[in-house]
Amino acid sequence: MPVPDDAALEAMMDAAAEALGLTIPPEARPGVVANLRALLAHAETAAADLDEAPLVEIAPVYRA
Amino acid sequence: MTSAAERVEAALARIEGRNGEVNAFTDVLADRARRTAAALDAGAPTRPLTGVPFAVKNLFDVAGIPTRAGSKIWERRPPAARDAFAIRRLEAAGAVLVGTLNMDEFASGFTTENTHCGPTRNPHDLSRMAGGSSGGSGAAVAAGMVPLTLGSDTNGSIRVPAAACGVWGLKPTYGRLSRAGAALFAESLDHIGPLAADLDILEAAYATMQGADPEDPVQASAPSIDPAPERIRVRLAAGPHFERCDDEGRARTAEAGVALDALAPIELPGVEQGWAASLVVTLIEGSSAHIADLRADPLGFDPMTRDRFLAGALVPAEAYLSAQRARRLWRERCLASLAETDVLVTPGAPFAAPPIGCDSVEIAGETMNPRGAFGLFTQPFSAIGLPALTVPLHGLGLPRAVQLVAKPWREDLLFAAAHRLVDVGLAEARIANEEAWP
Repeated sequence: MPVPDDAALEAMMDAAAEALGLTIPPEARPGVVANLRALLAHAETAAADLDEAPLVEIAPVYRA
Repeated sequence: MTSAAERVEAALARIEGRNGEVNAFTDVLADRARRTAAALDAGAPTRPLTGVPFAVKNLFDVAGIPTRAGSKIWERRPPAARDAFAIRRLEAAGAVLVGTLNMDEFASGFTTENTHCGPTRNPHDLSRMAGGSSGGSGAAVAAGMVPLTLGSDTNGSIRVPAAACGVWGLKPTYGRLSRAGAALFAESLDHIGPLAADLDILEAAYATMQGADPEDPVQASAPSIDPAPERIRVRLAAGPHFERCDDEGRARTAEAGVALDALAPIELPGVEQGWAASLVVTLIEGSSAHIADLRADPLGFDPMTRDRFLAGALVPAEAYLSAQRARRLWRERCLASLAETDVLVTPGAPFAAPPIGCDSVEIAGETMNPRGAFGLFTQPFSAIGLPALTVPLHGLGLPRAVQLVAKPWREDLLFAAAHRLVDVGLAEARIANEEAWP
């Protein structure tokens, strides 16, 4: 998913926080916004080349 | 022959003498250690690690004290009822637990700048970071306080402090060692492993901690493997991701490649996606593990952890699942790329330990924040569970290291290559204490 612009990002953040019952303290807000923006950018990078992606396997267990 | 009691007293004296400035230990368990040593000296047969003092990152359960995992919030929890599996195994082999160690809160971080307990300082330059999140584990060994510690590694949290402090650090294959009794950060990525002043102690501790444990659902039995080949095929990792390193790091990695008769370097397609995927998966799983505390007491967290975890909680599920697909794809591509390679060599970290508090370093024309960039070379391989070993390099100045990576279950090849680097005089732990162990 593309990284939303600032207004959309903050709207998404507030809606998700409310739905999850989380309170974002005012002093945390800049850091949370910065981390969320970075995470969504990383998610976009990770998903850049998934045409041939296999099924999800949560943990990489190499069983004998 | 030196008694266990003498070794333990030596460790306690060193901790007393050095911990005030390094800030590696959060609990010193002197009474317990003396009791254990006395029992060993009372006639138990000699075992592989008899009398070796060790300490653990404070996310391992230690009977009788709360498992704080670098946090203030968890200090309120009841004391652990018993020791973690790995501690029980080490003590059964004769090692003696002497204390617990500082870390980034809930293992989220690469610098051990812990707000609650203060930063752990690099014993080679007290103004500099020890790396993290197992920073206390790296610094305690590098300061000569103990020769063996345990850490955990989600994205590089054993290997980064090992590189920054100049000690040995092993992250085994995912599932090789039971994590039971260790607080998890991101459960699909978490490993435990040893850090040590000596390759032989590292190997002995690693061997000791193996064994089936139904209490960790991802712990798996190793398959039978072929003996190590006479000539191990070594290659350096190449491509833009691995060029994000300072000149000294690249030069020292090339030097290790020469010593190991490396074949042509290889690129690893998809490494950037794999690295990005691990960042996403880590913070979403980490947030999920702490969602109740995030709701109840967000101000009780270290501010850096709090901001990361709150952000991780708010990421859509689609991003998590896409990251997991990307991670699996990276794993398939990486294993295909390594088909003709036994041991891959990368720099241990993109730079030497930066000053504490530093939030930007200039590397190869790029500005990086060390709090994330410290794990550039470790993170892609823990994301897919490959075994990896940080090898401290002989030299002056701040410690530098290389990372050796192998295919699943081939820790034996890592050790074979590491011994070769020791034999040619290139690898050696950097201990900031010239006093020999009794």
